[in-house]
Amino acid sequence: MDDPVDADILRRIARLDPAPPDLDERVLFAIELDQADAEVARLTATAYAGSGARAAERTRTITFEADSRTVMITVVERSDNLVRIDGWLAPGGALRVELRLPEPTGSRTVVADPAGRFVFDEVPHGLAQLLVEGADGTGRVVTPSLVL
Amino acid sequence: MRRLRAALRLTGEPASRGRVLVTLAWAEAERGRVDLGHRLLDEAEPLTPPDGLAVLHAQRAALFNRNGRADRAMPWFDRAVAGLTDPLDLAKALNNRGMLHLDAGRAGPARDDMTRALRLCRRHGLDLGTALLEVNLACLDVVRGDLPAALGAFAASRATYARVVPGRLPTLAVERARALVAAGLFGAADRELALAVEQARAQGQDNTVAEALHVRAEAALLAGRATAAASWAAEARAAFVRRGNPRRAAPAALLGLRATPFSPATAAQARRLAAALRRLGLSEDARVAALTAVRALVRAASAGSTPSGPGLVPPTPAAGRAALRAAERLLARYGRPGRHDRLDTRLLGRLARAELARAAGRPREAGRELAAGMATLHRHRARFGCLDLQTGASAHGHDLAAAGLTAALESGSVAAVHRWSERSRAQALLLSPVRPPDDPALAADLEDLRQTRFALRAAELAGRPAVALRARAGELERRVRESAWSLRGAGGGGGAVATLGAVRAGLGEAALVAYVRHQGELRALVVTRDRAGLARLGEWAAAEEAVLRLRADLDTAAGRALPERLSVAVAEATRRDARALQAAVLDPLAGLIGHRDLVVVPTGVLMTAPWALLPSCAGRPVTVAPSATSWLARHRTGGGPVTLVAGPGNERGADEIGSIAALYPGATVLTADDAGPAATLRALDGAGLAHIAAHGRHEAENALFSALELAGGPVLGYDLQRLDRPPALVVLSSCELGLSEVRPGDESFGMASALLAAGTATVVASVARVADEEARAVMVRFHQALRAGQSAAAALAGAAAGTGFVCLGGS
Repeated sequence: MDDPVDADILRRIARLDPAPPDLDERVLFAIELDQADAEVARLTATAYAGSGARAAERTRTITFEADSRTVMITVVERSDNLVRIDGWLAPGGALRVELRLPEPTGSRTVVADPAGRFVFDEVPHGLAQLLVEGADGTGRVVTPSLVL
Repeated sequence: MRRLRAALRLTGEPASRGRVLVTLAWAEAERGRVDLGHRLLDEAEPLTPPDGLAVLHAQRAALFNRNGRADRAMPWFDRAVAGLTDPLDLAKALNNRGMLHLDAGRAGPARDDMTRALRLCRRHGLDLGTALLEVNLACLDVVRGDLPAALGAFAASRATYARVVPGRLPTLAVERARALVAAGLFGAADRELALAVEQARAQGQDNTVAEALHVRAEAALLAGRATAAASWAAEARAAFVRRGNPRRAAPAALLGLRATPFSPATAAQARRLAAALRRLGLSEDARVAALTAVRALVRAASAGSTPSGPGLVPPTPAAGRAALRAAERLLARYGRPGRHDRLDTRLLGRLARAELARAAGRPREAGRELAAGMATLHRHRARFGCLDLQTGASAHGHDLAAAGLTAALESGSVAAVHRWSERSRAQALLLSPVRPPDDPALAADLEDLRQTRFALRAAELAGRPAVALRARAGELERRVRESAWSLRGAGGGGGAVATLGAVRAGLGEAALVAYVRHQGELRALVVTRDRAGLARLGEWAAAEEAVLRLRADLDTAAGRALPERLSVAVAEATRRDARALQAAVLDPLAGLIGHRDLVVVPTGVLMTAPWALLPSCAGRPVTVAPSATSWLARHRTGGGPVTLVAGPGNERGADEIGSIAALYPGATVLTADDAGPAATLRALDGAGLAHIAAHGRHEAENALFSALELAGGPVLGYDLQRLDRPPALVVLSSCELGLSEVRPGDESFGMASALLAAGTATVVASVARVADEEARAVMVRFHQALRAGQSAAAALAGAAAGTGFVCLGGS
């Protein structure tokens, strides 16, 4: 790395295409999770039915698809600078859902109701990731990490 | 500082040396070394020529003032005012003396001094002084309780400050926030203060930081956020102690005590504070401390008979009687809050007396005190002409209302519960509507805001950056909101709640269910023509969560093509959540309401519940009324033309309007480019029935900026307040415009509430997102039933089962 040409190229790359400021945090957040046995759900775009609805989107709705399960959440801003997450699992079931947050907040777990409905309230902004346990502790589904 | 010291070394000539010493004294005092400042002034005095002494006197007064020694500062100010000739120096001294008068509660002399100073500044073109004094006079308006004038003056001086003294913007923000807290707008105050703390810290303005923290604690206390209030009050107090200012530290300590839950030690601490505040000459704060002690003594005396806090042991009867006697003595010693006290102090006085009377076995006297407090609050509310402040005012009545309701519930008297249930909710709707005057500047701002929002929406949809547009919209919204604040109320104005007898006589075959909250529990007052009774429902938190879940179910499914298994899961979740809400708010009342039509008077977030989703409301007419009184006072739908409007962006909107127009020959129909904001507002004014199919957006942060998207820009909640003759029935066939921000005292604030407050009898709107296709089908069926002679609630019940549409107001 003593070559001045290489150094110059690296400098230019750093200037023209800087790394995202939270890259380190994201990488560490992703590495901490042992996902070896989990099915990773992929983010899917929302499709509108017919002519849609009579409003712009006030809430953020995100859908993740895995073969074994679909996970959908909406994120609503609260007045105190925290967010509320409403979620749905399909197929539904009273499953354990974990919301992973970076340290020092750590993670929280709730059990969805029999219809697969779950809620996390008073969640801070920032990185987050959902893990859904399978019916008998098998077949975990994880979502990619997202920024609330 | 270094430069001053260098100047001192260089100056041999006594007069200028004296001047430098005076400046140095001020600089040292600013750094908190007030004693050194005094010594420097002593050194300067013999060096100063006679005509310069007045300046020195003024400086000395300012130094005493810094340390909270008002008693020592006053005579020096008097000498300075008598001797000063320079208009700026004289204006400063007058202003500071005025502040001192104000601190001591002498509003008249304070106003005289400041008015004189303001005249001086204006005459001599002293911009900075003019701006500062306008703000100080506005602070006096706050003390007088003339908030419309104060908020108007603050809004006007912001631009001057930004131009002349940008460094003092944080100070201005703190004073504005004080007025906002007095107006009950604790959310707006908190946002303003968070920014002020940050800016003042960055500029090293310790005193402003401390003041901002103090007001922030007051806002948090009003918002019911006791923990936050206690920690900010402690921070403010520590800062004032550091600055050696006991006159500001003691009130901060009192605020901290008020934000801390009652304990056995509270009474003694409050009494000590009362004595200390009195010694400092802060008589009103001393009264507040004494009232806090009274409330603590009453709690200690009645521990055991009421649900008591931790650590309160039931006293012996003799000890209890002694505590009550001590409380009586405190009330006598510190005086009754009077005309010159702040509204909050007067209301606290009523509350403390009521609690004492109740503990001493005089319930009727307690009831009279509480009712008198609520009447005082209503007179205060009637001074405002805009919904924002009329609804905000109710925050100050929170504790009184809770005490009144608790006593009524414990008495078991249904009439008393009805009275307090009505007194403690939706009081703003009892005031006569005030139409804002035609103000060209405001009209221009609103028009500009419309254009900006239109451009902003276009940019958002196209994915273009919109930072500048968003900032512009925010600035315009602030101006529109602030200009509404200075509107004065129609005065006097109602306040009388309907009697239970009148409600029963007006119900016909319907049942009225009024929900009240009591210590985390939900109760209902159920009234029919021939009986009235109370019922317990269960945990308030369960009902609240059920509403939030159900609304999220509706929002997420509206107009989306979900994958099959997800669609099934959401439908199942919606059914479950609807059953949960029904179990929390209606099932226990089934025997009382039978199959009757319902008038529900909600509390809190129930104001935004989608009643049409509950199985037991399928096909049942439900009217959501802010209060029984407002429901009874609704005006029967008169005639008047029909206005039908379709905004852009909905495939089915024009279709919907076309089908409805066929039912109303001769209706004014606005579609495509004709459906602009101005044309729509013109067609709304004086209409009997108005139906608008458009994109809607509820603004949670400031609900009167909620919008209906029309051709070329939005119609806002603020526009609806300006209608001369609002339509009797308004149908908002759009998303979520039935939502409202529910403020303390069950005051709802939003697009639909703006219409009801302006005089509309009935609003049909949705509390959730609505699919375009579904809206069209529901609305055509609704109008067919309406044309067939059904009431709005009945027509909606037949058409809108399973949607978020509700019938608000009357029916």
